[in-house]
Amino acid sequence: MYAVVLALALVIVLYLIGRPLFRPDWDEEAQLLQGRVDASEMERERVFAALVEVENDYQMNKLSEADYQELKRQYTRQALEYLKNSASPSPAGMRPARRKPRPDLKQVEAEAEAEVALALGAAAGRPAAVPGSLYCPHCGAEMLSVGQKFCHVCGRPQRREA
Amino acid sequence: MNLANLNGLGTVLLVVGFFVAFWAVAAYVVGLRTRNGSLMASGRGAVLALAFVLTMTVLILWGQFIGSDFSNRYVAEHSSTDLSLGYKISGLWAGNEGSLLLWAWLLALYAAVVTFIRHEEGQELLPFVSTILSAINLFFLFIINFLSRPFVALSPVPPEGMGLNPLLQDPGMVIHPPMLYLGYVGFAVPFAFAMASLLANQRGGAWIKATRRWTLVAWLFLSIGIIFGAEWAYVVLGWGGYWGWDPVENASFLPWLTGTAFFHSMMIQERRGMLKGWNMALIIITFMLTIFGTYLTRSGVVASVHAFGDNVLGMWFLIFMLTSLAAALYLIISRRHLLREEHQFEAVVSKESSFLLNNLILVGLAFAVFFGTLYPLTSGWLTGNKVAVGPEYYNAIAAPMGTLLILLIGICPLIPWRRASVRNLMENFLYPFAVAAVITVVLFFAGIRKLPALAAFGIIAFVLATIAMEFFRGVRVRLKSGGESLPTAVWSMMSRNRRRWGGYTVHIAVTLIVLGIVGSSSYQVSKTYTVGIGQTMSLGGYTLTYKGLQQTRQGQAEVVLADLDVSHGGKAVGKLRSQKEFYPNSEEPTTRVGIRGSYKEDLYVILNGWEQDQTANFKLVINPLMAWMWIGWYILAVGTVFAAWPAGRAAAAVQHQGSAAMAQSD
Amino acid sequence: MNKKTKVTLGVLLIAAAIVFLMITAFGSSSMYYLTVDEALAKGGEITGRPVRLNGGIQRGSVTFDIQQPLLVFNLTSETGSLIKVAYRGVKPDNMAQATQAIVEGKLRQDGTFEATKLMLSCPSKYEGKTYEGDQGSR
Repeated sequence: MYAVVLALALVIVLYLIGRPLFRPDWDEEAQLLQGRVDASEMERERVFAALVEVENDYQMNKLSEADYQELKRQYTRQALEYLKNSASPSPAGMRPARRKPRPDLKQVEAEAEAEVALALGAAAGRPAAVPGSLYCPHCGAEMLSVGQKFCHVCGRPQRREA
Repeated sequence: MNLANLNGLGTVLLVVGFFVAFWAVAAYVVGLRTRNGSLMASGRGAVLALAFVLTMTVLILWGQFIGSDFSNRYVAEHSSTDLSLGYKISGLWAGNEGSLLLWAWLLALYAAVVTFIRHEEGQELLPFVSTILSAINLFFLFIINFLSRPFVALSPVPPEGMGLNPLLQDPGMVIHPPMLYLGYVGFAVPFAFAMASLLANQRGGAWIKATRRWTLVAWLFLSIGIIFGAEWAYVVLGWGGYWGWDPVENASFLPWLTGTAFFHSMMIQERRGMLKGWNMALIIITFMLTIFGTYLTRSGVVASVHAFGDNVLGMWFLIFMLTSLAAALYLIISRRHLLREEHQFEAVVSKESSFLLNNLILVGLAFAVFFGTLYPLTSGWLTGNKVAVGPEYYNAIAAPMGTLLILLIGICPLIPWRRASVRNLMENFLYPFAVAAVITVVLFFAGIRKLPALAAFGIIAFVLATIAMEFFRGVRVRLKSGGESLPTAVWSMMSRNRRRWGGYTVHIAVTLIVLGIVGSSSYQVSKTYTVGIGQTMSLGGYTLTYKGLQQTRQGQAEVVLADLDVSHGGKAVGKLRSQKEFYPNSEEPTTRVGIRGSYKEDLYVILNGWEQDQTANFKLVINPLMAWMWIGWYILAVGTVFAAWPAGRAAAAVQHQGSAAMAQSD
Repeated sequence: MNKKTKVTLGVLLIAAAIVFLMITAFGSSSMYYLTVDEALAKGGEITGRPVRLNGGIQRGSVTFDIQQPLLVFNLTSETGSLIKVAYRGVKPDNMAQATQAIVEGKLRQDGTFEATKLMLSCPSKYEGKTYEGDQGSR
């Protein structure tokens, strides 16, 4: 009786191990090709997070006026730099539908400043003015524009943020 | 390998598991080298297969316990037919073989989850991570298959098992091992990610972000495991305390200390790209300490209440630890260029430096505890004289370090990143300091004269006040932007930044735990009495009247219990029972103390012995503020869960605000 | 001095403080960890100093006076020599089953050992009894 159980177990094990060998599975490869997370991308995230924190700390009276202005100036400058330079093309073969053309610089700058103002506003406790989420809550795709009503990747409607 | 019974099936499955783990490692390694996606996917399949096989084995063993299958020697040694179901289930981890199987199973489950869920960060590290986790499991499977086998057949089959050790027949002891193991095993995940990041030549430290939640989860389980151990010691070992600095207690405390240090310094790397090498070292040390903790418990290398003893096992654990340490060190050294700092310390007073201080204290304390724990061994080798250290050594170091740490908990939140203006700091300290000063003075006049305790209470008051102020000010900032009622404001403030407010909650919890520790250790009083029926005993304002002994049956045990009437300040406040339990499989009774707890103190009664005429000997203990330790642990769990909970959309929006691609039109 | 130096200095300071703490704590609480034979051999050298003794419990030598309470028993060595131990405390639960004991305290002038702490270890404390012929069960 137990021999049957064992046989069954072995079948499952061999299936799990063997199936990928006979079916080319580019999922693993693709993961590697997705590219290492760039150190500079992490730095960019850090800068934005720091902006929010600086605003917060100032509101909570932990930073002197002088330090606050200084740090805010530094971070805002860095943030604008990143936003201007970032139009990173998607890695080949990953999400071909999302290849975007290089944006117009002026538009980028204007949007960058809006972005930063948004971040600061959010830090000061004002609820974000953005009506929609910045990522599709269903498939995780980044939104192409603020206020986008439907996700362009999975098609699901975007709910409004409270 | 007889497949006519479950033992044979279990044995074969474990062998299969061993080969599956081996395949997982081999397929991944070759697949990564040759960039062969199919091989790697096969390795991934093996990770899942291993989890499946080990789950089957565990279910079989559980089935044997529940069904009282004494043809399995392990089951016969740790179970009996008249055991309650709960204890039959917990019998799985009552001994070596089952515990190691539990370890392997939990590791396999973790590995499967890590390998198959979608990660926001570090997805590309997964092949390496899965390899490392499988390699660790390969070691445990080696032990389980060759040295410490859970499916050894017993012939002839005994009609009844030996039953579960009475000391383990306690709810605390049912939970303690699995929780501890979930914690130990949990730390293997950040370790694997760290090594993976080196193997993948990553500069960015994505592994830190990927493993933040894993670290919190592991730490949470470790904390729960430790506290249940302490609760058990308090109630069942019954000597009046909850922590004896026993080598095995220390072994679980060590990774907790370094783990706490790690998830603080982790934040510095996340925020400022600093301390990369330090974080690597710290997670390696933490992982090694989890293996060491398992090793210490299983090998009895330092005599303790826990040791099961088996030195062959110990030798293999040592080999495993040394090998993985060597491999990790090699990786760090050969890839040290990846660990260059991105920023420097900008100010001596900054959040970075206070986190660094936090790390130094925690790691320093861990080092001191480690040193003391191993000293009987090392001194024996070095000087020929075995010298041991008593609890005084540990307490003498832990007390000042702990106090400093608590002070840091109060100060640190007020210090911003990069630089702090000392003037703002002083302003922010004013109110909490005033509160603390007032409380200290009040306590002094209320009779608290022991200086260390008074100082500790003052500092605790200061810390609680600063955290309260943080909540207060944060809510005030939020209310300023208008439109929210107070409760909504509090909630939305907290959920926008779960890390911070969850962290503050945990800080409150730790402070409360320290409150309990200070109270119960500085002002504990005890007295022993021998009384006849009807006589009274008194301690600390309580008067207990001894009503007599009773003998009843509770589950498996014959219980002798003493009934006591308790009154306080002349008013009757209730009853207490203190008992000794006699189990059929043990000649000795186990203790279950009677405790009457209040927020102020614990009245703790041990029944030591009795004569024929029912004259009984009791030890009475009063542990002030003991309850706060347990309260603190509950709050700690809540705070950690809150901090680790995936951020809601609102918070995600704030956090992603920066990294979101701005609107790009096609 | 620049920031880095200051920070390094701070780190060294804390590290030094910890080492200092360890040394002082050590001195006041370390104790010799000896077997009965070793203790008897050292004799006067260790009289009055904190010592932890490890030995066997002599069957039949255990007496317990519940009134005081006072527990007295003989701690034995493999060679058969023994030291009388007096422990002013409660008889532990597993005294009758215990075969080994660890006592902490001081050796008195008269050769008896005054124990302030008593820990019992049963070789198979968690197993009760084990079945014969096993290796991996411990």
